This record gives sequence, structure tokens and C-alpha cells, in this order.
Amino acid sequence: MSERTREIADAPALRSDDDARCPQHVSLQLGIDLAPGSRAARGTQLRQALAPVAALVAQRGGRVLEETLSVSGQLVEAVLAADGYDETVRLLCERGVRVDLLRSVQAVQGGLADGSCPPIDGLTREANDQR
Amino acid sequence: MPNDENNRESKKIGQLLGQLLGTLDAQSTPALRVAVASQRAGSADGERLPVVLKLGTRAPEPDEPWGAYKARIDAHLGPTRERIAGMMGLEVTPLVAANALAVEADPDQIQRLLEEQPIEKIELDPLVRLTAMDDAVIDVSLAAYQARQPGLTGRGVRVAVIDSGVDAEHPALEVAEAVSTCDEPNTLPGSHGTHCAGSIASRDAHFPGIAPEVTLIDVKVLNADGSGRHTYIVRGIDEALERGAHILSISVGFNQLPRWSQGGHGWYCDDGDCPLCVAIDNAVAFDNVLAVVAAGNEHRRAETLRNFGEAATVTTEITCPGHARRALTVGALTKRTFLPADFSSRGPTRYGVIKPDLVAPGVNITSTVPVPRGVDGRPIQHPPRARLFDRKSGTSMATPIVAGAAALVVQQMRDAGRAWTPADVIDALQTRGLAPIVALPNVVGQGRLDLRTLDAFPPDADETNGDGTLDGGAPDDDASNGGGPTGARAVDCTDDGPRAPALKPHGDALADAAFGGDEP
Repeated sequence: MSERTREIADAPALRSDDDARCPQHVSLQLGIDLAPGSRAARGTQLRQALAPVAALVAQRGGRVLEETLSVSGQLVEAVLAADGYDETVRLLCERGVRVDLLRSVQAVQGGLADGSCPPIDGLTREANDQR
Repeated sequence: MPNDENNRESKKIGQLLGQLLGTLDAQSTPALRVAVASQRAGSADGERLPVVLKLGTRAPEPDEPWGAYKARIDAHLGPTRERIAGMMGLEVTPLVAANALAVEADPDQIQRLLEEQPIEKIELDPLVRLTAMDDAVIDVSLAAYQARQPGLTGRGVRVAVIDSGVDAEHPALEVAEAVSTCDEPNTLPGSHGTHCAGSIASRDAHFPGIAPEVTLIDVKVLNADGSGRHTYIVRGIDEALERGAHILSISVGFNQLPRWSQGGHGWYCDDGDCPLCVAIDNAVAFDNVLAVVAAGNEHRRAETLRNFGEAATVTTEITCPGHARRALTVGALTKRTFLPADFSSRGPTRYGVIKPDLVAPGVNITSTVPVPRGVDGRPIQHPPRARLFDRKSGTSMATPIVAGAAALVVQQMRDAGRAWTPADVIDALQTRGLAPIVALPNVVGQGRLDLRTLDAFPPDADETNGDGTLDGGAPDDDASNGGGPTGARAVDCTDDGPRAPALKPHGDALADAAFGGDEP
């Protein structure tokens, strides 16, 4: 578990509620037109646009992880509280923010059949493939 | 009797030399003769051809030491060597183990050498380029391209492999920089990422990459098993840009097939505006990088859905970020037979643009794989070569081949003193670096990668930086062109500089993605 994930998991406001509903780790994409400029300048634009979004998320018991801001993707990670999650997403969408759940998927485009991890010497190929 | 002499002489001429002499005879102008000789034989000196004069076979005697054998062969070669050197003024090099002599001679001198009795065979000694990463290089005519443009190795071009990690311990790979945006460190490389990197930058003698001297940047965005989140990939694109990448090679993606289907990711990208596609479009528009991206391997899965009456669930087979307007999206085809791979995703995109943009070999591609590890997790010492290379198939494998070719084009443009933009490289590849292929454009795009006809770039005084730097110039204009990749990649160039295409506000469709597209 990475430090950031642990931090998220330990945040009191974001623990599962009494109904065992979990807070959602999501990405928020800011649908704004960026003005031309350096990456740093575009980052500043995005942070400015992010401020009201972060305030909204915080208001509803969540948190935007600003250190994860991606300038190219106009993207930032956030944790949305389970309580009122649907309403939070609706409000974000109204502000032109795309919300995606963070899920881990098999994203490579080929070659998986041959095994993807470095093989361990001494194991048969079949055993390595099953790892 | 003259006929007998001719027959005897013709038997002395080796097959390669015979073909070349026939070609030279058919040429009339000296310039052509020089060009043909230089290109076909690798001769450094005009019409003088490198040839080997065989003086028969003389095997070592049983238990004969090398020194004694060498002295015996030297004595046998000596008189002929001195006679040729004195008679024709040629530099003659003995090849002891072959009982032969090596000279560079013009066609007239070769005719005279045929009359030398001890010489049993005269064969061309062509310059052989060991560019045999895989037979895929034959399909893309790499040797022909490099013969016309010698010295193209990708040197000075920074290529980021955004994938599951590259094994820096592999003896054929030199990783200049490495960064990870996923849960794992770069020290746990993926087989997929290492394979893709090798197709571009392997420095192995027998399995070199397309552009072995590129500066390789390992951007690990997926775990070694190929799994990861879209945010890893987006942040990886940022990291590649921070490190000054000129070309992004991206063989990963999220498909838009329903999650309940096998391998379906349930990703949603209506108009090329998902985070993955926006990251690519912004990177190309603002940061002047070329993004070469896999089309995806979803055709068979999509066909299965269609055959079972679920065609409506297949909105597009192209995966994101290959779905982006400014991506150079690559499909896969078989080697030699040039058939579209049955897994290679077909277009169009969800917003109606034909993709993939081109196809390249992507079936049974041999490239590097991670060095086997011991139980302590460390690479084993001196592993067998057979375990350092493997074959894989996918649009993933076609993508780095195109990225490597693009690196050569970038180097070629730089060497010609031209500034370049991603649109320039794509234009060069698509107008002169493709061979037509009989298939629908939504299957193979504008054709298959073939560098045979990609000629030199004339210096462009108006666009030259003058210092040979790789910085791109001002991007082209016309952001409104959303058609083919060249036009789609054009950037609005006003006095204020380039602008990305307007990103649409995300409305109900996004709500659909958030509520309906994900499993509870």
C-alpha cells in the first residue's frame, strides 16, 4: 500500500460509514479550455480552475489530492465520501467535471499470453506463467 | 574454344557478383554505375567493388596447429597476392581461414582476375547490415531506407516507452532515464514494456531495434502484469514530457467494450475527450511531441459481441488513448503476407474519424524480454540468449516499430537542418512512408509502414533552426480540421501560439459513465 493510499484509507472522514459503504477513489477531469503557454502556466490555470471544485468536494466530505494533478490530462485524483456520493458526482458534472472511478484493468495491447513478469530462474515456463 | 573460355570464366563468377555485373553492364552513365555499385555492394570507392578471390579449399591437417596452417596458406596465397598487387596496383588482403584474397577492383580488373589460374571463384563481398531485429524489418524496408540514408540510428531522439516498465538490466537495452507512476518501482519491469522497448532500441547484434541509438526513457505506468489505472497513464505522459521526450510510444489503452464482456474495460470516450485522449491531444498540441499509440486488440472480442446480437454495445473498437484525434494510431498486420491481424481493432472512432492511421507488423514479433531473475529477485548472470528474446503479437508490437521509424525520420529531418513538428513527421510517414494495401481504411488506415520510398528531406531555409536542434517549430495551423491524422494534428497557430482544440464540457454523458459504466 503506497503512502498516499494509506493516508486516504486512514482519513477519519473517509472511512466506511455505518452501512459499510466505502468512499470512492476517483479521477476528476477539468473540462476547460487551456490557454497556450508553458506547462507551468497551464498548471497554474488548472489549479485556479480546480479551487472551486476542491471546495465543493471538501464541502461534501471528500478531498481532492492536488499533488496528483496532471497538466496534460487536466486530471486530478480525489476521494469522494460515500455519503451523498451520487449527488456529489451530479454537482461535479454540472460544473463540467468528468468523474471516473479508479479501477485497475489489464491495459496492455498484446503479448500477455507469454507471461508478463520477469521469469524466475529454475521454475518451468508453465510455473512462471502461473505466477 | 572462346565459348569454353567464357563458360569457364562465367563459372568462376559468383552469383551475387554476376547479378551486379549484369546490372552495371546495363547502365550507361558513370554516375549510375557509381550509385549502383555503392548501394548494392557498400563499396566506399565509386565503381570499385569489394570481392573475394577464392583459391580453392585447403582444410587444416589433423592436429595441425594454427600457426603451421597459417604459414602453409600464406605460402599458397603469397605468389598470387604479389602478382595481383604488382599487376593491377591493388591492395590485396589475405583471408587465411578461407584460403582467399580480398580486393576492391573495378569491373575491368575483375575480368582480368578471371584469367588468373589459381583463382577458382570470385564473389562479391557486400556490406551486410545486421539490421535483423526480426523479419518485420524486411516488411518495412528498413535496409533499403538505411542504405539511402546512412547513419540513421535514432541518435539524439528521446523516445519514451509508456508501458509496464523496461528491464534496464537487459544487455541489449540502455535505459537513459526511468520513472514510475504506478504502484511498482522500475526495478520490477514488465515483459510487455521490455518487448516494446526492444523493438525500438535494442542494441543486440542479431536483434537490433529499428532505431537502436535513441535515448530511451522508461515510463512505467502499469504493473509488471500489465494492470493499471488511467491516472497512472496520464501522469506517465506528464513525466515523459517533463523529461523532454520527442516521441511517446504508447502500447497500452482502455477499451470501450462493456465490462460484462470478456476483457471489456467499460471505458467511455464519446468525442475523444476522455482523460487519456485529452492528455495525448494536449501533449501533441502544446508540447510538440509525437504520440504513437496502439489501436487496440479488440476486433475478435467485438465480433463475438456482434455475433451474439450485442452489436449495439460496441461503440468503437479503438482503445483510448489511440482514440485521440492527435494520436498516430497504429494497427497490426501479419508479416510477409500483409494481412490485417484478426485481433487488430478496426475503426472508425466513436466521433466518426477513420482510425487506425496506419498499420505495421504486429504478429510474432521477436524482441527483448526481461532477464530471468533468481529466487533473490536479482537478474541471473549470463542467461542463455534464448531467454533474452521472445515473440509476441499485438498492436502493442506494431506501435514501437512505427515509433522507431518515426525516430529515424526525426533524425533525418534534424540532419537535413529542418525544424520539425509532429505533423511534419506524420505527414512524411503518411505521404512517403506507406505502401498501399488492399483493405478497408478503417482496418489498415492509409497503408502499411514501408520506408522504401521515404527519401531525403531537402533543407528548408525558412524553417531551419540553424543549430540542428530537435526543437519543433511552430505547429501548423487549422485546428478545425478533424479528419485524418495529419489534419487532426494540425494546431491553431496564432500570434498567441498553439491552442488545443476546445474541450467540450462534460455533461450527461459523463454522468452515464460515472453511474452506468462502472460496476457497483
